[in-house]
Amino acid sequence: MINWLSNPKRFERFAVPASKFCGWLALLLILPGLYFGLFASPEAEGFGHGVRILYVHAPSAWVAMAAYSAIAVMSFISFIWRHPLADRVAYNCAMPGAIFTALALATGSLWGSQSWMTWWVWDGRNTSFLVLLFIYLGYIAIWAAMDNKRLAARIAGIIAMVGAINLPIIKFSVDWWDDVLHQKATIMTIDGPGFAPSMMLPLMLMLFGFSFFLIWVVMRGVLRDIRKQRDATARNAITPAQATLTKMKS
Amino acid sequence: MTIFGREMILTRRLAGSWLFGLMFFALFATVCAIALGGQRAAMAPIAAPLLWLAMILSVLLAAGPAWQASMPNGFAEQLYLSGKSFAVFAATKAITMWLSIILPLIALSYPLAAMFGLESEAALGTTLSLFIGSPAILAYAMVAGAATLRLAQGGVVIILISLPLLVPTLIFGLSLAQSFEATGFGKDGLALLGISSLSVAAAIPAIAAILQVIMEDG
Repeated sequence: MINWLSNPKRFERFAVPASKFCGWLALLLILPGLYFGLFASPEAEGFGHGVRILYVHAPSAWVAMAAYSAIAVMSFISFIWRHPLADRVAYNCAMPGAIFTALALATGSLWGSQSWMTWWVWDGRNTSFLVLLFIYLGYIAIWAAMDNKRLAARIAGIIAMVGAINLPIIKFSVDWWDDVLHQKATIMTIDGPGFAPSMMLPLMLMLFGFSFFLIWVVMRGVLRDIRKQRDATARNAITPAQATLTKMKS
Repeated sequence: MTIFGREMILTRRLAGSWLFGLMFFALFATVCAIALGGQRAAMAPIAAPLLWLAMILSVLLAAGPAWQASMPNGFAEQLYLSGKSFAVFAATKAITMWLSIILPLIALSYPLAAMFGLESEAALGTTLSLFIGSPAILAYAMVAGAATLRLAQGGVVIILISLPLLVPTLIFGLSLAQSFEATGFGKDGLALLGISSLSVAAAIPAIAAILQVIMEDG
């Protein structure tokens, strides 16, 4: 499958319909997800209407982590098999991933302001997500800083793999830091009242909707890159003599 | 041995790497002490975190010039042609950088910790935590430095890449520094040792891969 898709032409033939499918599917899942999340689900005990932020917050966090996993896997594939398309997929995952990380942090902060009465606490989860955001930004910075895009692709891939080894360690260490060095405040958790099916439905709809949205965005980015590359090749293919001829004709 | 000798000479001659790092370390600590008002009793609780930050920033500042000096254009190709493995080169360079850049910083950190008002046992704990954590700091600084070898202004990118990866080292290092007086080396020391070993084990192959990439595409 990977080797089959690594040909840009074949990838394009697959991705043009597939991205359309994913885009419409994302819309079809998110719209009812929004309806059930905003109107047709109960308030949670202790959270009030604030719980509705969960239907954006949790899927964003999930997609943010999924995007980084995709970057790591694609970097690995690109490193082993040297598929340029894998680089393009990794590159196009970075910006949406960073934005979803920021969205998860922002919605978490909004939610926290309602239920914990504070915008920000340095607890394990917040901190590790903030670090994830910085890792995303560092990855994007490598791509942005280098003019030689082939070199940038391969070095960014290696850094992404080092980061992927580190992420579980960072998560573990920050949780540990949170447990040992901080007196735990009494934070209300979702596990308390149990998860009603009426809440599970919008959550799942949004989760899958966001995932397909990510796939749609990434595929469109890769397709745009393929077209850009093809146009550049076509421009370079016109030799000076041909260019003069075309000019004389017109 | 020849690579070791070359790297040793290069890093020692390059004041921009080790001497500036050392000066930055001392200067950062001094400025912090001035900013905090100079009360030793008030400064003692945050002495270890400040020295850790000073250490990390000094090493990150020194890593860029040290790489630039030892990898002029064409050196990777020469290394490859002479049949040396990039991993061995990376490990050798790590050892020389540790000896020439980090060892002076560690030597300076004990008197600085004492100047910040730490008792001798606590100052020893801080120094020990820096000693054990320093391979991890150096490992990520070197990965980031190698990754930005072909950049004219790599300095900020080095910091952007490596600081998030240094979070576990910082956490376990400070935990050892703060618990050493009460419990000795203990579990925190082992955790820090583990983080250091893991970081080195991840960094050396990554650096070798980056050098290979630079040789092929740079």
